[in-house]
Amino acid sequence: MTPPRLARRIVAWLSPPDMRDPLVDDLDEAFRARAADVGPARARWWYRRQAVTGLWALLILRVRRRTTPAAHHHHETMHMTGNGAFDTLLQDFRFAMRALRSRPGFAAIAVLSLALGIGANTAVFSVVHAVLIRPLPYPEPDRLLFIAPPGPIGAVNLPQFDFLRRHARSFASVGGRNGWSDVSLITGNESSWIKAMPITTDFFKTLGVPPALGREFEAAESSPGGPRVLILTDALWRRAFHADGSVVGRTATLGDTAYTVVGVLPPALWLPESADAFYPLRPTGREMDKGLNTEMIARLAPGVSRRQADAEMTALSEAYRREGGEDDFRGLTIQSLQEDLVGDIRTNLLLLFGAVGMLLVIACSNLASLLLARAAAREREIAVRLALGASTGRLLRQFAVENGILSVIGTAAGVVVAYWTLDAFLALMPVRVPLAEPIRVDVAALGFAVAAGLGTGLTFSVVPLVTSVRRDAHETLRAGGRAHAGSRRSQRARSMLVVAEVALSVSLLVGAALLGQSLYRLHQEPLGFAPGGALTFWTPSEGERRHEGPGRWNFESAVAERLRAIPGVTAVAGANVLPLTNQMNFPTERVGHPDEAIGGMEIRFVTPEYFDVLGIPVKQGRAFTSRDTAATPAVILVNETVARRWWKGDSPLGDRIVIGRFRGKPIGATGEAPREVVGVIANTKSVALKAAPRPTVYIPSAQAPWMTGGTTWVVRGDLARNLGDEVRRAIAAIDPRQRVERIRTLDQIVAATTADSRFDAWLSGVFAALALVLTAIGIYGLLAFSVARRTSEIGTRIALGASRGRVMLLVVRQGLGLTAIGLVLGLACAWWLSRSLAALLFGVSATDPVSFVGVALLLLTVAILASGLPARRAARVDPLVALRTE
Amino acid sequence: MAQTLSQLEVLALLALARLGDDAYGVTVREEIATVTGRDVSMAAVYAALDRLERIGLARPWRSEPRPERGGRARRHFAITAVGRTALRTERAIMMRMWQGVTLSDEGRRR
Repeated sequence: MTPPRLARRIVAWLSPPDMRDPLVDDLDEAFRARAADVGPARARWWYRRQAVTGLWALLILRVRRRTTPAAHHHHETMHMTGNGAFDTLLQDFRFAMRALRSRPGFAAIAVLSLALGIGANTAVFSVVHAVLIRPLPYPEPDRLLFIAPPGPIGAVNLPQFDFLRRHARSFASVGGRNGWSDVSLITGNESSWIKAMPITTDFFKTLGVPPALGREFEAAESSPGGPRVLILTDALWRRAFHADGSVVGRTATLGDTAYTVVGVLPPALWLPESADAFYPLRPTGREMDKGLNTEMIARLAPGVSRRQADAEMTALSEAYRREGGEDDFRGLTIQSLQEDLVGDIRTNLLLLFGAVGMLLVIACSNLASLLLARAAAREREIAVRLALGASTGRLLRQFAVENGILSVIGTAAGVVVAYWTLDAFLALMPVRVPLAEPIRVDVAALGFAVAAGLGTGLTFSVVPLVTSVRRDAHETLRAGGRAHAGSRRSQRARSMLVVAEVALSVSLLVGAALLGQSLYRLHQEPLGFAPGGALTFWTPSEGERRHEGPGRWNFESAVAERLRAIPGVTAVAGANVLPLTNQMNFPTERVGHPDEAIGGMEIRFVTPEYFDVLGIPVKQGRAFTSRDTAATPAVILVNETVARRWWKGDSPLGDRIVIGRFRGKPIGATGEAPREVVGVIANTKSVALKAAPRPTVYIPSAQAPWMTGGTTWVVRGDLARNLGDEVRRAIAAIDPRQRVERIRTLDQIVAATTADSRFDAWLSGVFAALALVLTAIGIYGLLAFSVARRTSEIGTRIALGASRGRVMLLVVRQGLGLTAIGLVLGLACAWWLSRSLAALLFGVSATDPVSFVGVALLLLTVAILASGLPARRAARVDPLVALRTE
Repeated sequence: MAQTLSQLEVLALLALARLGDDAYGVTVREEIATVTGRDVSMAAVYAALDRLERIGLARPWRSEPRPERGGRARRHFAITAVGRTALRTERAIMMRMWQGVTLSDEGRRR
């Protein structure tokens, strides 16, 4: 018949030491009486309930005890006024709430400033943390490297890969992979489309993630003619093999080839741009091995530093060149894998982070300025209370509580704003960064924001109070609300804060103006084709759907015919690659001029209607017709860039071009013979909106037997109808297993190319607008306060004959003076900072005078408006009333 | 400004007045539970007594050592003079507040 031990221990643990024994003894005693009365089981139950329901009472008791001086112990005196600290705190809280409610405008602005600053910062920092800081989900991720030639290509060729694998000593292992392709996977009698990716041996070993079942590829499997083997992802293993534990050794058919499964990857493995299955990447021994198609990763060997690896890479690049590397070999460099994955978005994110950081500083300055003003306004109250005997500590605590409440509410609102902003931010973010984990509002970011918010609130509530409390109360009381040394100091601090706000706003506004102008210029860029009212989609040609030579042309004719039969469709054209979507290039030279070969000639094969449907004008000669077939002489069209480069002002018509030759040497196995130029086509944007049109040649689709990869279609017609579904039905009628992918309008394609500029421009615009609003509030607040303080001075001036206009000017001049200083500082700062924006700008210089002057004018206007209201109030001061308050 | 007392504190103070020398944790809790029909926790009673002690309305004293408690004393409480005054005030407040109050459903409940 003993009390429940855990419950007893909880009570004992929570009780204050002096109360522990009596309380537990009393409980035990009551328990024994109860047990005799109703039985031990129910008594034990009662005891447990006692422990649970008593928790709260004990907690409250302990808090109260801790905050109450133990002065009244065992005294029979009654201290009706001697409150404990806990009660005082409650009282402070109530008082603070009353004070805040009495000035809702002040509270609202303070909370709003904090909420916007903290919210936007937390959101952006969450993205920065997830993308730039969070380590990759592999063992020792900082030792993972990415090896590529300098520049945007980001891939090596197989001879380079092999050379490094054989000679590099800095790496524990190296691995590589090529891009995935769609293949059909046949298991038993089921078939599905999967993504299959060729990888080298040691790819997963380099990442540090061995297969969960089976093994990685062996050297023999990665050499020509070796066994055909396959590694599955966990997801595919579950989907297509029903998580069969004995899958290793089984056969699966990929496309039309049988593969043996040798491994299954662990479930948690994350790979950027991953595939469903992996097969060995093998050299073919042909020219195409020299294509820069392999992404190469490496893991630093133990004890080797990045610097040593860099040095070895420089030496090996030199050795490779000596051993007869490619003519255009530019060496290889090392980057951390994370840096490579993050890529270009790094600049954008860091700039945004900088911008949003400025916003936070502005918000905090605003809050600080508000708090300073409030403290100054309460100097009299403080002095009176000190004179009446309130303790300094008590006053400080009370104001700290008041501003603490503001900070807490502002911070809480900021957290809400952060969640909303992050959602909007992610929806807008154009670049899909490969991330192992989704971006969430992150604890570190929240901690940062909360610290910033609370720190500002508390610092600027306590510091001015300390100074005003220290000052002789008599002085303040005698001054009777007029300006004196202390409040002048506070006013000067606030002026400096406003100057800083203006300067930061100017920097943000200049950045936003530059990015906005870039976006505008981008939209003004001539596309060279008419994007409106056209639907596009892609019919991949793969596996048994691979149409080559005449088969492809037959397929394309059939599709074009079916599409044209859809009601509402006015025209149809096909091409291998549409403008602004992709690239497809091959070396090409003008017959007889091997020195002028163009390595990256964009090759387009198009159906005869292509130029009509896209609205691309023919500048010279003719376009293709349905009479250009495999049976007629091989023809080619060039764009203006090619015409200018090869023929300068002359007519290219009748001259000849050969695809697949570079400086006299054949490249690839195209089997192309020279083609006769029959026309010149107007330039269109090719790869990117920001880049000039690339040299491009066009071949009739009917004459391109060596081209594979599928056809992209452009259908002009009534987009309001559900054209996409009708297109799918039309294609299915020809071949039910032909896939139809990437259905979108030409307008969407164009919009996608400006997405990142839009993102930058909009976000910086929003931040700049917020900064401007906060700054306007800051200027207004400062002047309104100053006018209120100087009421009697202004009244005296008016009484002595100053005109209302002069009084207004007095106030506005104060506002403009500060603005001007901030403006000069801000423009200088923007001039210096805008260089970092240069990479994101298009068609506008980083020191564009229009943007700088425009921002200056905008800010002056806002400053005049923000000063206007207080100025009017000053002008309306009634001298009689003003002087009576004296 | 008079110290306000919570209801439980008033009840505990009344229990001290009723129990006299017998007032300690167990009996105070029992008294409140039997009279009001509310099963309050021992800890809450202790918290109430603690506050009463701190503001001078109650005074603790120790009993003789008790063998069933392993030789430890009970912690008794007694109401102080100030406590009595406070109870009078509480009663007066209540009486004043109740004056002229008729609850419309009181007849029905009987």
